Amino acid sequence: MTATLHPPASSPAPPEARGARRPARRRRGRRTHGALAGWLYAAPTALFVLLLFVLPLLLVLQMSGSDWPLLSGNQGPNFPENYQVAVSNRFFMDSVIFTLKYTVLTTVILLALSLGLAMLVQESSRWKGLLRTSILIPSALGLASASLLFYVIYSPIAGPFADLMASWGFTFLGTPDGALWSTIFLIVWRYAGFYMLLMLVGLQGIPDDVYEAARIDGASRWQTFRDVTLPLLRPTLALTTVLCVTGSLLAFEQFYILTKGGPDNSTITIVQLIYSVAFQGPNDLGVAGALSVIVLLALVVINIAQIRAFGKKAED
Amino acid sequence: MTRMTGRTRRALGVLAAGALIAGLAACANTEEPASSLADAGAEGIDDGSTLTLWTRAPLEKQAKLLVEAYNDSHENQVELTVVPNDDYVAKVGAAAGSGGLPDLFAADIVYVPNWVEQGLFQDISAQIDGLDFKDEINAGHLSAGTLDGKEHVLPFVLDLSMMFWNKELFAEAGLDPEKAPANLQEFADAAKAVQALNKPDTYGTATGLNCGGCLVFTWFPSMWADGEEVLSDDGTESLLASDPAKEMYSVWKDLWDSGAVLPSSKDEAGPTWTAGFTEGKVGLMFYPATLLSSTEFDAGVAGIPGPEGGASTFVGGDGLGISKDSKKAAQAWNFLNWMMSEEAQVGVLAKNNDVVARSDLADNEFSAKDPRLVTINEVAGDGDTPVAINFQQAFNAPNSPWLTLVRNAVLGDGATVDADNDEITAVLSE
Amino acid sequence: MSVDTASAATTRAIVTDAAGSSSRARRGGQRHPATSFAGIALRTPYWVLTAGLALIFLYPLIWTAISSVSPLAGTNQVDGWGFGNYATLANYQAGI
Repeated sequence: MTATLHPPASSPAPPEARGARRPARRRRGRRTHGALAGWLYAAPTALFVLLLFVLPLLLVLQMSGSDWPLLSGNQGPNFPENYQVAVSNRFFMDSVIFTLKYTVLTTVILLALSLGLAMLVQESSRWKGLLRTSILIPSALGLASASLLFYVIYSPIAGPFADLMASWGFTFLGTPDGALWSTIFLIVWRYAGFYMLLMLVGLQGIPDDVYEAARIDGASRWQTFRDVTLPLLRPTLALTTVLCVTGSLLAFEQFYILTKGGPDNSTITIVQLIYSVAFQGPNDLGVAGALSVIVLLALVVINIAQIRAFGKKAED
Repeated sequence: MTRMTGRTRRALGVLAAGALIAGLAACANTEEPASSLADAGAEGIDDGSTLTLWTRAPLEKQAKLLVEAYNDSHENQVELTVVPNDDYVAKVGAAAGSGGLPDLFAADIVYVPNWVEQGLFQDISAQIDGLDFKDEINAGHLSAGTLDGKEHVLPFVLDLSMMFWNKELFAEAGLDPEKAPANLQEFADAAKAVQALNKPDTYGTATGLNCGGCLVFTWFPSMWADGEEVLSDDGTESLLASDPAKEMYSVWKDLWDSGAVLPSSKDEAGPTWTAGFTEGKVGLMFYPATLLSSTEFDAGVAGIPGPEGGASTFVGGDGLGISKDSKKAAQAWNFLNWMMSEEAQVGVLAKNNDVVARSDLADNEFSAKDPRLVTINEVAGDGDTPVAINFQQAFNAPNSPWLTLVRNAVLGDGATVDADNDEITAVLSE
Repeated sequence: MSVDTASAATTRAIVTDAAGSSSRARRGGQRHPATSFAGIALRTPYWVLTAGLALIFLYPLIWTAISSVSPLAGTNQVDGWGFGNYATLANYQAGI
């Protein structure tokens, strides 16, 4: 979700700030007072951004350049070594590849499905209202609670499919592919309603006139979808893609609870690697910080690329 | 409000900002009366202070009993916090970094050497040396908490791994319910015999093949029973590719391939690894002795045998020490001192069918009623506790090389034991 | 698109729904009577699909609700149906 955290430039100053500045412009002598007042009005917001965003970021940067064991605190600088250790971790490449694979699969499936669902329930009837509600209800669950729920549902001991699994001789989380697809199913179940809602809003924003015009021109349903709906839905598609890609690249809870990176270390995501370096074994916040900085940079690059890509298409 | 002048608004803004800053500063100013170990004396101070104690969820039952008994008989009151097993290291780590550790906290005995080295516990050598039964205290736990001759922890709860068997299922399978399998092969034969009953939902044995901690706890003793070692003395080299070790893996591989192991054992990461036996659906397994009191059917108990026979156990459980951040060390020592007393060891732990941490109390009124407790206490003397600084990373972590070794050896073709063992050594010696 | 086979079969508006009203206006001409043979034949796959979807999304929650009051191995409730698990939860002290 880093993409949504913009620097305070966009944070609105209270309307009074503008009112206070206007008299200052008229009387030159009070210009500095006006500027001071403006800063004061912006101070609460700036303070929170500083405390909750800038300081933690600086702390991670400092950690990533320091020898910083979890249990004994900062032990002085250790700059390039942390990054060397981070990228030479025996799970680093595996986790990067797995995270990318998971992100691509999740984004494609989730967005296609949620667009389809949005078109399916777009109109109004009792039944469709019910359908829309049932798809949306899982979004009310926290991701960790949903993961725990599916941990039990997938369980070969306590789950509702325990007997089925015993007779077919398979388990949901027992093989690398099974674990990946079981997790993707959980994520689709949990997020389909949320993305469907975003798509619905986007679909509503398309004026009826263009559909009317398409029908008069004799466009088929598929042509209408491809040449009218999709292009006009681009802002929504851009938003959902950025959200879904960023969320998937930072996937943690679902794998931490469902698979713990298993079976046989096949489902370790990059954030899980950061967690395990920090808390499960090496207990090295320095190396974990270095990994976090690498992920942050990758996210910035990926998001700039995505926004550029969607922006360029819009100009065509 | 709309008529407020610009000057007034500015003044209010300054006030609000000032209040925020003052509020932040106030958080840092909380002083409390302190006591140090120097004031403790032999018994510590019992002055009605409130002490905090953290432990992990698997030991909740024992910890609660001890804390309740202490609170009932003392002025001091202990507030117990139980943390889920998987979150415990992270929680302690975060608290250690910010100076927020509780007065007393328990640590899985295999993590104790690392945590002592990191300085999380206060040195309590002087107090422990003052105990006239010091030589009777479980040596494995005491030595895990000893660094440069200074002792830092006392045994809080002892958890031993033992071989448990379901006597009813043994009798049905035509095995002698009163006789323990003498070696690993007999263990496997008994499991297959129970499996051969073909009862629905009933299996020969069970284990946690995706749970590094469970495998350490239940498989290391098979090596010790044969007089083998699993780690070098300094804890930086893994000896788990020896011939007896390979023999142990092949026995388990044979058991797995023959279908005598509970199928969910393959993915078992820990939370439910004992459930099958507790529910009476498993013939025999290596099982934690702390669960003796919750095993309701008639179960036999013996030490864990090796490929050649013998018996040993993993002396696990948690050590308890006074944290570096405690301002009430003298009061905390009062709890530790009481915890080692006969009143606590026999009156609380033994009464609950738990293992006592003092060998002079091994024979007590409660163990006299249940010969299995005598067996457990006897095997405890032959048990071992491995000591290595990087133990968690090498064995307990979900992505540990030890899990890779076992899964390759038992679920795979078993050809990579030597290479996998080198990987454990690499992590241990980091 | 099964949307269109089924579209606007209903004449009932749900007041809170803005999307519905606009699309109904858009496709108002395609109304077919739900009772005709063709109507039923076209609508059956749609009903099956949407009912299946609703079931998939609701099943985990329904299962949770039912198993919280049913006797299940490994819980503190062994004496039949009831609220034993909730009592256990209320007395649960293992906090973080």
